[in-house]
Amino acid sequence: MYEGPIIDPDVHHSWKSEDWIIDHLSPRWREFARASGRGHVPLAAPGTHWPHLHGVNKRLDGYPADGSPSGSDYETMKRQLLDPFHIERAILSFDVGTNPGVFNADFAIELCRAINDWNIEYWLGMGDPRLYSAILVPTRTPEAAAREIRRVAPRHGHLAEVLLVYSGLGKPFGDPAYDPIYAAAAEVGLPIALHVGGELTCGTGRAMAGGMAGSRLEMHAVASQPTLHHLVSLITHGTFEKFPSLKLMLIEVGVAWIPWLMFTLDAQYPILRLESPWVKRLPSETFREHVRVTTQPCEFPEQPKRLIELLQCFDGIEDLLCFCTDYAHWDEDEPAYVGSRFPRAWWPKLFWDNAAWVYGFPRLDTAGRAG
Amino acid sequence: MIDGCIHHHWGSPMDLVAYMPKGWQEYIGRPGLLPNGGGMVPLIPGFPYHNPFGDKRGELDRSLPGIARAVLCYDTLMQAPAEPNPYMALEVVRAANRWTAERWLDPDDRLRALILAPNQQPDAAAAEVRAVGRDERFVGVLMGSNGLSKPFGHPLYHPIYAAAAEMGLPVILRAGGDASPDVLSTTAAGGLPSYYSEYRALAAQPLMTHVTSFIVQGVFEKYPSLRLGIVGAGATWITSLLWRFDMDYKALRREVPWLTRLPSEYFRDHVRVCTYPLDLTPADETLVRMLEAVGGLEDVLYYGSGQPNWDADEPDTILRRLPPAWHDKVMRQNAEALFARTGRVAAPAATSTIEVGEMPETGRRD
Repeated sequence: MYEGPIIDPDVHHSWKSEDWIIDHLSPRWREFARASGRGHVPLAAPGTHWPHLHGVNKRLDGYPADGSPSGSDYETMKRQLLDPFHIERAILSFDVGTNPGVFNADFAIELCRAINDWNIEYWLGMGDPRLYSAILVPTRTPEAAAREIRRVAPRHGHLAEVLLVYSGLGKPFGDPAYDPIYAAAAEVGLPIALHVGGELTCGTGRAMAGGMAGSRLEMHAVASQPTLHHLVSLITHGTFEKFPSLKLMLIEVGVAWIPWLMFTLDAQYPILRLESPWVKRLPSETFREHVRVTTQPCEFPEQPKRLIELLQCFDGIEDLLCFCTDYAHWDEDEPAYVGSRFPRAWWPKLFWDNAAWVYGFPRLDTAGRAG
Repeated sequence: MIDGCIHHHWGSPMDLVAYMPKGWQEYIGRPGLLPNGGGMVPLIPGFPYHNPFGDKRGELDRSLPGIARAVLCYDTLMQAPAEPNPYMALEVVRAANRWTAERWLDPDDRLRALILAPNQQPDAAAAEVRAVGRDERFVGVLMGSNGLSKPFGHPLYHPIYAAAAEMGLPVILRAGGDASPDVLSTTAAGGLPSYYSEYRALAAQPLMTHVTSFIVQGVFEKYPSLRLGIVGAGATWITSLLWRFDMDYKALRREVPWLTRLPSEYFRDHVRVCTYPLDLTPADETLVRMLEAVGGLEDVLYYGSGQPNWDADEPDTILRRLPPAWHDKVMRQNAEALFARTGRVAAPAATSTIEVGEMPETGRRD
C-alpha cells in the first residue's frame, strides 16, 4: 500500500449556511437575494432532475454532526480525509461549483466574488497548510471572469486553480469567446481545472449527445461527455497554442477513454490542420504537454490488469494520471484501493508528482517525502 | 465476405420523387420550374459537418470485388426522418424504401438493404417495417436521424422495435443521426462542435447515449430477440463505456429493477458494432491491444466498408489490422448472424419478472 503523501485535487467543500455567502454580497445584491423576506433566492441553477437514490449523492457519514451540509465542516474533513489518508495537499473545489449557472448574469458575477471572498476568509483562513482551493468564475461573462481571476488570485497563495464547471455561453470551452479567462489564468500563473457537472446540473439540454437520458444510470454512464468535448474543443481551438503556459486538470471523468479519444482525435489531424489555424501538433502531443487527468471515478474492470493494458496503449500514460478522492460524494475513491489497481512503480507519480506539476508544488524528494 | 455498410444515394432527387404520391410530387416540384434552377422543395434536412477535403472518394463502386453480400445503409437520406414536416418525412422515407427496392435490389442480387424508419411517427414507422419487411431482401431497420430528439431507447420509439423483433430484423443506428439542425438532440455534449474534425472525433458520443438508453430502458427485456447494430464511429469507444456502465449499474440498479444482467452482458448478447471507420492508432498492434482489453470483441465487430465515403475501409485493411483468428467472424459470421431473418445473437430469453417501467416494492433500502 502506498504510504507516502497525497495530493487530492477533488475535495468538495461547502458553507454551513448559504447566509454566509449572502452576507458577503454587496448591499445591492444582498437586497435582491433577500427581497422576498422569506429566505433567499437560490445560489445555483435549478438543476436537471436525475435524482440520486433517496435524493442524496453524498456519503452519509460525511455529514457533520451538527446537521450542516456535506463538506462544510473542517473537523469532519480532517478526521475523514486529511489525516487518515495522508492528504498533504487538498484542493478544495466547491460542491461542485455550478453557482455561476444562476441565470442572472450580473448576479452570477457578484455571487462568484462573494464565494471567493468567503472561501479565502473561512477555509484558507483556517490555518491548515494542507488546504488549497479553487477560484470560481462567472463563465457567462468571460471578461468579468478574467477580472475576478486578476482580483482574487493575488489575495492568497493557496488559490491553486481556476475552476470551470459550467460553460455559461453554451459553447464548448475552447470557443474563443472564453479566451479572456485563459489569458487571465496564464497571466496569474494558475492552471484551469475542468470539473464534470455543469451541463448535468444547470439545465442546459446539452448534458449528453443524442438527447436527454431517461435515468440517473444512463446519465452517469455518459456523464463525462461534456467534459471530453470541452477537452477536444480546447485542443482543436488552439487554446494551448494561444496560452502556451496554460495547464489543464480534468476532474471526475475517469481515465479509460484516453486512448480512444486521443487516437481518434489524432486521426483527424490532417483535417484539423486545414480547419483550425491554431493546430500545429498532434492533439495527443498537446494533451501530453498540457493536460493531466484525475482518476475518479476510476474504471475498475473485473480483472485489474485489463485497465493497465488499455492505458498502456497510450505511451507515457503514467505521467498523466492523478489520484483524487471526490470526497465526500457517494462514489468516492479511496487511495489504498485505487493504488492496488495501478502498478507500484506509478504510485509516486499517481499520488503526488503529476498533480504537483499542475499546481506548481515541489516533487517528492528521493525519500518519497513532500518537498 | 459480407460488407455490412455501403452508402447508396440518388443520382438526382427526382429519382426518388417518382416514387411519391402525385400530390406530393406536385408540391415538391422540380428544379427549373422557377428561374435560376429553383422550383423544388429540398427532400431532406441539411447537414452541418463536411470534410473540407471532400466527403466522398467518388461514386459507389458497385463491382464489389470479393463481396458476397453488401448492405445498403443510405447516405444523407438517413436524415429524412428528421424533416420537420412529419407528413413529408413519412412520404420521403416511404419513397426511399421503394426506390431502394426497385432501383438497387432488383438489379443486383448481391445487395441487401435497410428499411429506413420514419421514426418521428413511431406507429407509422412500425407499419412501414411490417410492410417493407415482407421483402426478404431488407435485412434491418435503420433509425436514421433522431426525429423525436430523445435517446433511441425511449419508450416512444418502442413500437418500431416491436415491429423489428416481430419481423426478425435488427435495428441499426448510424453516426450522424443527432447532427442535423432539425433535431433538438445534439451530436456532442456540452455545445456544438465548430469543426468537422471535432464533430468526427466525438461521433461516438450520441451512439453511446443511444446504446445505454436501449439497455437501461429495457428494450432487450421487452424484445429479447432484438439485435442492435451500431455503425459509423469505429470500435475503440466500447471499452471505456462498458467498464463505466457496469460500475454505475452496480450502484444504481435500484432505479431500473427490470434489468437482470450487467449492461455489458446485454451489450455482448444483443449489440454488434460495425468496424467502419476502423479506428486509426499509432500502430496496428495498438488497435488490437485496445480491443482486447475489454475482451470478446471478435464476436461483436462486423465488417463494413463505408464506401464511397472518404474514410472507407477496404477488406484488406481490416484483414491486415485485426488478428487472423478474428477474420472469419468479423468478415462474415457476425454479420450473417446480425442480418439473418431467423438469426439471433446468442440472445437468451427474457429473464426479468418485472415489467419495464414497473417499480415493485422490495422491502430493501438499496
